[in-house]
Amino acid sequence: MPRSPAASLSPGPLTPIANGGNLHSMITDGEKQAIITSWRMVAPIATSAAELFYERLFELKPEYRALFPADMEQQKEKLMKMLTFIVDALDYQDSSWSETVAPERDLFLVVVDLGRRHSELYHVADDAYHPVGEALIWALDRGLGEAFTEEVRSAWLHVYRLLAMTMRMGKAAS
Amino acid sequence: MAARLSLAGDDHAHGKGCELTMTGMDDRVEVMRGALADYDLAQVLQVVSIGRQFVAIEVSDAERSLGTIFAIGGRVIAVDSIMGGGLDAFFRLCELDAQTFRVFRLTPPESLPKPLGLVRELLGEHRRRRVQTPTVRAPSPPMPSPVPRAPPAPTKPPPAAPAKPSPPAKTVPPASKQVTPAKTRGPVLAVSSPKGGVGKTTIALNLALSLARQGHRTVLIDGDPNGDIMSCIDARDRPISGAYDLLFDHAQLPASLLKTTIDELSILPASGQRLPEAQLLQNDLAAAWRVLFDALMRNADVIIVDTAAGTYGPTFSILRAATHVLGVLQAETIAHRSFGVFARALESLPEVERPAVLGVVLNMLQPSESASVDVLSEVCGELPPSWLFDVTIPRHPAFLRASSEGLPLGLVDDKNPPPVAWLFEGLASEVSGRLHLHGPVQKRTKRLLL
Repeated sequence: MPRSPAASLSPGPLTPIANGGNLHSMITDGEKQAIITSWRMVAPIATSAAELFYERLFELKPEYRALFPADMEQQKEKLMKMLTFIVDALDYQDSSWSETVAPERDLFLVVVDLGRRHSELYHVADDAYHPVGEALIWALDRGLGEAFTEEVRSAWLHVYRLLAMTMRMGKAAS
Repeated sequence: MAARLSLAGDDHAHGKGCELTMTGMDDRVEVMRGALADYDLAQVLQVVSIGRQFVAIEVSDAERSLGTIFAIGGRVIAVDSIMGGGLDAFFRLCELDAQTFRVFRLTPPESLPKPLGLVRELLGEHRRRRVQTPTVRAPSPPMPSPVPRAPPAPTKPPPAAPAKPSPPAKTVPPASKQVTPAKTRGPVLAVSSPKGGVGKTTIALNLALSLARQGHRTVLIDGDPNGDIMSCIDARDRPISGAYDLLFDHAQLPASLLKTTIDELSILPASGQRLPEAQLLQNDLAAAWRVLFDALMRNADVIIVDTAAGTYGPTFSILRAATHVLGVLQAETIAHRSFGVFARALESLPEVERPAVLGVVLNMLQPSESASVDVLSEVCGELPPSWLFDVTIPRHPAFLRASSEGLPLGLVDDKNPPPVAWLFEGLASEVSGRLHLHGPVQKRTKRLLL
């Protein structure tokens, strides 16, 4: 039986089906800002947010519970660390575009590798990404309340789908 | 192919200047590879741009490398291809029929040249070039009358009895015609009829529901600027934006596409609370529709588009972009007489833009009325045998009840659906069979006796 997946960022089309936030599908500066700002509000309630996420995930897919350890504390921590990493990785000045970062700090490389591990080690199928993404948006919605505006929701959805696509591409990584 | 980087400023666009060969980059590390049938080049560029690495994206066909795009920090730095370098080569590389991609991480050169552009902007420009519409925001002159490329085949002369309509021209391609390269990769089915009030919207809505229930990821688009789909389901106040807002770049897809209680069904309304401007609707929107269909098709198995009555105006753009058309014929004399326009309108389209006729469904049949039954027997003789669907939809009070409840037929009573609701399951099976949709197959051992 495979080990439980690492802090998952399962992709998959969510409420809107099509690719990315708009037909151009690049993360905009406005979207980055919306994500960074909203995450600052989630960080103080990280434990609750992680609980909400897994609660919703197992509600959507009860069969996934067996893939995780009985004690979920470490798993929740991993989830929040990964989300924090993603938000931090998006937070840089565009003026520093020509600067590279270490591979272990690079969002593209880390997420590609995450996708490869999800596929090769944990055998996570593509369709598993859908409910996980839905659970993420649901948890953010519950956690942020009124602060989870349509703009914030759209930004998270867009980034999530882009990361999901990156993870799926990572399946074929060498 | 050796990769070359131009380090000269003004000559950058033409790929001139100092050279840097890929073969000398021993520290290159392949990060990923894949098939461009699964992900297009734009998506690969979007994905690498979430990171902060200096990357080379090499695209190849079955025989050779076609070119390499160098990028860092969301910018394209250089292009080296069989067509040369620079911006022109970038756009041409995006259009080539490449099959595979490989992404390498590289050590950046000490001095980076001036970027060719932001990935976001270059992809936007690429999209605009594909659409070949300078801007859809600025009004343009009304679309000219359609001019067929090939002279139309002569139609049969009208029959002597004036009550009988002309049979459709035989030059319209059968449903088996392959989708042309100008069309979206997946099936986009426009539901169309020359006459209004024949039940297009009802057919489109219930067909989409049935296809979704059969496991096909279905997007139902309201292509009628009047927004009849939302009226059918009593949800006119729900949409924030819709298809026409997307076509005119006034909205984003996530906010426009509506989820339903059926997992596999989503609905894209025509517009938000404000109807689209009439002047904008006169633009040629076929290319914009194709781009929208392509975007939706990445996560859908089939797209159904309800169209406005008639085959010209906004519907004409949809027909040019759709892969297939499903004609709705009301089993009633006047509708029958005007149906010949359906085939002639399709015939007037250039072949590369002409949707394949998936079939014609006879709607609102009244078995107790001889005039209605006569239409059934006449179309059986007039239409090509492959056109008419086996399923015929009768006029039935259940449709009125469904409308008053704001629901498709199949949702009015889950436990005891009206018998006529089952007809749409049959129609969906016929449609999915003709479209060769690869739905989930439930294998069961079949037997009769316990």
